[in-house]
Amino acid sequence: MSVVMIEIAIIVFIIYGIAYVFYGRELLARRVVKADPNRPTPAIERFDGVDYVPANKYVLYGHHFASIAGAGPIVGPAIAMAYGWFLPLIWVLFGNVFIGAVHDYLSLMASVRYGGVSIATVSEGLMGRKARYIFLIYVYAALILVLAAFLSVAAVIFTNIPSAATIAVIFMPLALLLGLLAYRAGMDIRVASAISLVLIVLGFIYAYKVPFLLGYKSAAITTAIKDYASYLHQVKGLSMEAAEAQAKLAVMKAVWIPTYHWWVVILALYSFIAAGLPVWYLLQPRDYLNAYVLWAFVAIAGVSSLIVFNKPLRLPAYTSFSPKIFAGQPTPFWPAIPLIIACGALSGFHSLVSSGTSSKQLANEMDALLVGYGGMLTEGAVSSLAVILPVSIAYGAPELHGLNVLKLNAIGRFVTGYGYLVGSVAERFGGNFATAFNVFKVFAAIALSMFILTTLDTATRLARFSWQELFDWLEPRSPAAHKVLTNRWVATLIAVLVGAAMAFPTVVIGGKIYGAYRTVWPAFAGVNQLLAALALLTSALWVYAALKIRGGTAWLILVPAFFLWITVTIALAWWMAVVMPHIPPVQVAGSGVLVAISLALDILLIVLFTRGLLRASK
Amino acid sequence: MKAREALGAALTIVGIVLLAYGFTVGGLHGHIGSSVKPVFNKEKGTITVEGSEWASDSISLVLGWFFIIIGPALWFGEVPTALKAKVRR
Repeated sequence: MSVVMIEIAIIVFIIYGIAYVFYGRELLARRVVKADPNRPTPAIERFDGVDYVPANKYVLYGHHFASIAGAGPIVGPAIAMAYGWFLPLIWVLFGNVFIGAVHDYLSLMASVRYGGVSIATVSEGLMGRKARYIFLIYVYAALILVLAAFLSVAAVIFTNIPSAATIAVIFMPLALLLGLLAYRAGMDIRVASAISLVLIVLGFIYAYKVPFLLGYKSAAITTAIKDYASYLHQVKGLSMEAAEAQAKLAVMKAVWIPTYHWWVVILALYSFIAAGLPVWYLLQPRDYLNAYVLWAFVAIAGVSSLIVFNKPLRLPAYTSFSPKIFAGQPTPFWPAIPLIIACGALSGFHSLVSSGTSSKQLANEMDALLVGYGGMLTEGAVSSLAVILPVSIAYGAPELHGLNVLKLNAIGRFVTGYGYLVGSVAERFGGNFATAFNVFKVFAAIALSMFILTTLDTATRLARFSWQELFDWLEPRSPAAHKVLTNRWVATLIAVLVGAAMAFPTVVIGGKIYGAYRTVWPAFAGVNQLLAALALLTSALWVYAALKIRGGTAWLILVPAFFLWITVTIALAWWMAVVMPHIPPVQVAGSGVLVAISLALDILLIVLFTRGLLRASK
Repeated sequence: MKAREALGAALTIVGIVLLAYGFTVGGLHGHIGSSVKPVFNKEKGTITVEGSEWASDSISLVLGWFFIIIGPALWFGEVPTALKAKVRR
């Protein structure tokens, strides 16, 4: 019996609806946290006009969602399709509802109750000062890695898909215009939004037609590769396959790397400026507009899946429990799945956004449900409706003329699946499949680049916050040194310089060119998910020790927290034993050291957590 | 007008002009900026690159983009009154 699209889409909608109302609102907001609309939030109490600024809940939702989305909810599920569609979907649905959304919401509320500080600083009151500084250093290192990765990924996207660069250049001034119209000119937000949205639609059309080239153009390199490969084959005696690989690498080094470098420099400068500016000026209006684009992105996928309701899921529901994923090694679904699917189900980076930028802008405690819990459910919807289902129907589709989507890389799977879904809708209404397919492939890539750019400057701002919290001990000892070191521009500059230093140099791994950060990147999934486990344990301890929640309700949070910690710890050990020996040598040292340090800190922090739990239960 | 505000106003206006120029020229050419062309030199056995990574429209757009991000922040630097009133309420 084949499963059709509509059956799964309806199940997804029902599960998220029930989860939001009963698990999020009734259990977490009312019974556990007891959110109070009259309790002033840090955005009000500590208002500074730069970082602590109250935001409209839909604006904040847009910011939070766009920041946590990054590329994670798309790339991870696309890779996990190697298991078939059933297991990734189950992990996205249940991981999201019971772990990821709980983690994001509780991190947000714990931070709000502690004055808007990071989840690492929250841990001080629950696990002691030592835990706080260990946690903060770990968080800062993870943020620098995120910053380097997103600098590099954004630069790669702008180099390879020049239309994405055009829309970025158009989008920022429009966001500023919206902010100035609404905040300065006092224009009605609906009118200001309508003007901005019309301009954005025009901007999309312009960007689709007018790519932004900084040297590299994929169509211009074919002849040179062919000529050089023939030379290497005929004169140097290389096999044709080896000659083509060497020629392609040489040509890419000559023309692709300079363009990539220019984008890294431009984006580093952008993230430095954007992360230092007041949130009301660029971040809030930009993310408010972003939310419309993202909603359009999800809504197109959701509505399309209803229109082409009877498309069968051609990808097998289940292929194997251990397909070859990491470094070509059999990768068991458990414990490895959190290392593959992050943002769509749960991600440590989210706790940093929740307890970093979002907690400082929350205007009312009641808004946290939509922002923290709802934002995470929306990410799950992106993973399931915009990635898992489209890829499953695109697999083996006759319109794609034998293209096997599972042979593409993660981004390729996603844009092909998304383009196929919307192309099928166009075809159903008598339109041209190929045109819609190509247009929405580019739309999907542009939407992805917008997630990434938002995450880039949010990560830079978060790195600044962590740095500032890390040096609070210096203030009583040397106020002048503290003032300089924690100055917002100095702290931002340090983060950007270190991040750019890891993104700018390039390395060749497996015949492909990457930013240097890739030498430690294989470890990032583990670092990020360990962070999630630690943040959820801290939040669970906050619920248990500070909110005094006991009984079944406490276990509903403690059990997923322990489950996650055990899963991630075993996954990291498995990764070191099975995957590490098979990754390229250039990655072994950096990644291995990072995972080893992570495991050591993991054990240390669980000891401190257990002590805190025992102390609280006395 | 303070010096900071004057600088902000100048950057904003110049930024708008640069963006308008870049987008117009890009629209006329069908692309913004320029592309380089790698060429294989058979005699030397190496790849050489023809053309430039930058063109006047791409320079204008990048400069204009930064000017337009920084300019209004200097020009209207203060926290908006509407926001202060919201916090007081």
